Amino acid sequence: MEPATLEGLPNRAADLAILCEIGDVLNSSVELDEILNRILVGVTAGQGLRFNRAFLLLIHDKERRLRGRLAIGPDNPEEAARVWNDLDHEHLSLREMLMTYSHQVPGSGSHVKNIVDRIDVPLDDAAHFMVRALHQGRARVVLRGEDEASSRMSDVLGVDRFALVPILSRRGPVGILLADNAITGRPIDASDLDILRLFANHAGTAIEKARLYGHIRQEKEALERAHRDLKNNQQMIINLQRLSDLGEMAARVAHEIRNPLVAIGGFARSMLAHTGDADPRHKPLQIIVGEVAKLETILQEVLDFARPFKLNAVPTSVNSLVAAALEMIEHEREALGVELAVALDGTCREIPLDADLLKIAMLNLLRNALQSIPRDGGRRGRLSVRTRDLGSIQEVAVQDNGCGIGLDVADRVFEPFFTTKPSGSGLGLAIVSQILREHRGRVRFESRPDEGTTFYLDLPFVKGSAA
Amino acid sequence: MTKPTKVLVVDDEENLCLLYREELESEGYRVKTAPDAIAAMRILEEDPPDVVVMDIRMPRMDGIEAMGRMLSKRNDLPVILNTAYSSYKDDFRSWPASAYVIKSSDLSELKHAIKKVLPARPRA
Repeated sequence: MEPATLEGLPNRAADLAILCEIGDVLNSSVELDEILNRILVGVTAGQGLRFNRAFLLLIHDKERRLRGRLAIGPDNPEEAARVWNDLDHEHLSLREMLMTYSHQVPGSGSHVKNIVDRIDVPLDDAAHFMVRALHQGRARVVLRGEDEASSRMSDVLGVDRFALVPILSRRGPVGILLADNAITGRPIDASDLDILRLFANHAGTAIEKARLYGHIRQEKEALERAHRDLKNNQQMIINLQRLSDLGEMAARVAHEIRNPLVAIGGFARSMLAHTGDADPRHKPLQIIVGEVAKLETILQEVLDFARPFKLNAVPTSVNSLVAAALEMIEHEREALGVELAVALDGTCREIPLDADLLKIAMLNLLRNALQSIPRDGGRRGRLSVRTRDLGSIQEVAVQDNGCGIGLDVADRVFEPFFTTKPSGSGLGLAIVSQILREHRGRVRFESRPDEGTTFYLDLPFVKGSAA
Repeated sequence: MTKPTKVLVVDDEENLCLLYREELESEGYRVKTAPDAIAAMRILEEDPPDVVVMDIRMPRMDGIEAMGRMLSKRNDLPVILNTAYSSYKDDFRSWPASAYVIKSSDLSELKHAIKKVLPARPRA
């Protein structure tokens, strides 16, 4: 054995102890940033590898680039003196130092950070000394003037020589560690390189572990998200089921209420028919009859809404449907003293429609129109109904000169249970919209506050439109 | 003087039977009521009506089945289904009915239906 090697033995043992210490600390974390910081502290600590500065470059697989990530080291001799002096006074062990300083990421303004941020090498540049080093997996000292790229790097670092060591993991290279002695100018010898290489192996393993851990954490989060979504969907299904149960219950209740209402209203009508105007019971009976009629209308709307529509479409004349619906509101219209204007387009052909459902839709529009017309005198109430054959659609327009629909509620009028009236189910227009949807048609309106509203039913004439 | 037209009302709601009796009698009909289909079948034998007003949802036997049995005995008998449910209207078993009326406190539709389904003959 060479005497020179024997002389180096105590140093060697100390280096191995340092490596063990650093390896231990690196292994105690799975947070990538924390590990990267500890690597750099280990390279530069006085109790560690004692380089002045260290730079960490990581491979970005997707972009196929090697990029500077993190750096540590003083900006100039003055700062170096201050920092090293402070550290001397703290008497920290290597382990304490690694733990304490591993959270301190150099700020974006620092000199070393500026340097490391400028390093960005494409992996496809096979001739570049750093890319070559990655492939060869060897640690070495790079000297200014070896080639153009290494000279450029020396300029950037402001040194004539620096240590370079690839960081390898079992899955291949993950990055490069650069270290220099920019402040002290201490030469970098073979044993410095040796220990740097051993250190880089530890670093590679720790980085790989952190990345795997990060990957597992992402997967876990994805699973948790999926689980959460599943739970939400389940809740939505439960809510839908509840809604459907509620609808069924509403229908049951509505039916149960109908019979007593028929009895109450029926007898009241019967008594009213036998009671003269002068009779004090006349007015109360009228009220009972009127209120029961209102309740029955609401009940019918709830039932119409809850009922699943089965479209039974047969060729139907829209004009005759309009006429039939008008006949059904004739009594109400006369009682309110509302003028009626009807203009039916004689060229309207028969189109496939569910006559019962369309009649319900028209009745709802006509009743709505009558209700919107002011009762307190002033102008005369006016209701106008028109039909037009527009080729691909037939249009029914129901126009009133009532209070109009305010802009604030315009997008809500077709919502179920939305109403501006003091009484009513708020289902009338929702039912109209549902019936038109079933026919693949649509309902729309134009309105001016205090001038009136026109509702349009667009009934398409498409083959199979109402199958 | 011709015999008054006989209406048989089948409904399990006693109060509704009372209402229909009062209202239809005031229209000049002779009215019999039955609380269920079994009682109605007996009246059909003993005192044959000219028209039947039949509820659908009833205990023991529903109105649609009762209508079927009645029509199998007398296929010219007009039966009006009178119910709180509009859903049976789409049920093909309801088709043999002469009319389908949804219950309302305003009995004019029912009265109108009775007039319409009766064979043209003078009424008291």
